[in-house]
Amino acid sequence: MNYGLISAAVLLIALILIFITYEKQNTSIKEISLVATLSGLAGVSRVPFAAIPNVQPTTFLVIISGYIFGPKYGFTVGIVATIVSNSFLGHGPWTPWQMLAWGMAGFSAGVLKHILKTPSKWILSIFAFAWGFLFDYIMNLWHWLFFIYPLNLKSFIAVYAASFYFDLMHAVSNFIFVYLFGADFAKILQRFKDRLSFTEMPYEKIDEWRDKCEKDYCFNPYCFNKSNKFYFCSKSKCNSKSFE
Amino acid sequence: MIKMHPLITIFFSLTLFFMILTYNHPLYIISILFFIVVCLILLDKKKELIQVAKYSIYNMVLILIINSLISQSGRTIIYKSARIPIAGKIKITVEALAFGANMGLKLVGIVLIFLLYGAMTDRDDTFSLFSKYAHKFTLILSMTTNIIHRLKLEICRVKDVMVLRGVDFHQKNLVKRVKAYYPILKVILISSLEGSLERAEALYSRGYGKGKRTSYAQRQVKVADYIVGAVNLILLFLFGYGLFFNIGSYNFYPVLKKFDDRDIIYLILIDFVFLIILLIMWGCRRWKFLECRI
Repeated sequence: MNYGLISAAVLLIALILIFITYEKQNTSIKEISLVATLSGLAGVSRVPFAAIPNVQPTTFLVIISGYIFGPKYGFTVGIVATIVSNSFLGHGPWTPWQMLAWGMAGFSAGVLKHILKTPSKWILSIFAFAWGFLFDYIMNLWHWLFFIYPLNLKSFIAVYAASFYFDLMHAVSNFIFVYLFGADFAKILQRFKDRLSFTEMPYEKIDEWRDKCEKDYCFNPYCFNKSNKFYFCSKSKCNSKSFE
Repeated sequence: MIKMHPLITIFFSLTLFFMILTYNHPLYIISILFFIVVCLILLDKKKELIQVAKYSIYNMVLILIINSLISQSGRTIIYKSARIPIAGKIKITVEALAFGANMGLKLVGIVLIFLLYGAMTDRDDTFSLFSKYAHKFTLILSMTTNIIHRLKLEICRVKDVMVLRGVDFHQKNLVKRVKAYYPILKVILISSLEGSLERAEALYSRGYGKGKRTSYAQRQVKVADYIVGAVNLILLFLFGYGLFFNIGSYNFYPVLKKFDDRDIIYLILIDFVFLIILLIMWGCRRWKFLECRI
């Protein structure tokens, strides 16, 4: 059985399905723009380090994006960053596998945030270190499936052992990037995430919304001054007797 | 230079890709590789071809070494080592070397298919094709490409400002140099994210996503596209037929065997189909009027 052929076909179909799902989702233009910027940064960061074997700041940026914006975002940033950076460094049979590996790195970082609400700098750095190895293990997999015979444990170990120092370079550089720059980058991205969470309101619904507000909320300046965060207080909870 | 319709080229590249993956016969692999190389030469991509070859040689050697060390199935032994701890006895066989070389050629072929796709199509045509069916994704890609250009300008601008403020980027101490560069990274990150929100608002205010997208130009399907499409169909038929009757497979182990006549006759058929495409490319290169007509 040609496992290389099967894996290529499965990966191709999976990527097409992911793209179709993404296209069908209701994504706001702000999200699209932010994904494009993060992917651009992640992709372009690969180019200056291309001369150093396997030092890839893209992994760090993809992980931080996924960690702050969530699994879906992380996955998209990983995929787009691969396509863009490979436009400069060269596309090849490795492109779909890199898309999968970086996509998964971003996705898993988002999942990590769900599991551990506030992971320490060390945990995040170790997570990035682990992804240095995992990324290259996914990349080695296609190499092993496509070009090595026989497909057994011995050949598997040989392929993975041959790339050990390269994988280590990737993992260590990830660790350093996250440890040194992770906290600052996360803060900046968190700020933009907060700015991104807005609600769209079509102008046809403004009157409807105003009626609802007048019914449910009071517009007492006293309440407005008391609350630093909200413009209106709920009528049912309002303590301002002067308004009533 | 002749440029094909992206959809036709995608199907053609996929056919070549799956042919290389499926066939094990060295003559088949060499034949497909030869076809791709000649195509690239006819499309004036010699420079890129050499670059890819340089990269591929490293991977080819790696595949050759791993296969010859791992695979112990061959019978024609060239070298046999003494017992090594953990690894045991290692024997290098002619069969394992031949298999490794064949796989190395496969890798070169797959890499060259990507280059061939780029040479056969126009990037703008590919982009407009995808924007029709996946407009969100193509918008992301086009914005990303645009951002990369802006980033370069932005880095130069920020660097100039920091030099004016007395920051030295040419320090010999690596740690100090990294410390000098780090604020640039932060400024670039903040300004590009800020820019992304501004771009989003600009797009939103111009009504992005409110209706069907405007298309100003459409890529027409030319005669050459029909010819390549038809050739691709013939190739697909031959590929499917060969797959069904197990033509084009070759067992390297336990001993290298003589090539089967049936496989060679079938290969001549495939090569004849390849020749049609090569003749079209050569004709378009030689006679300008042919390129205009088709």
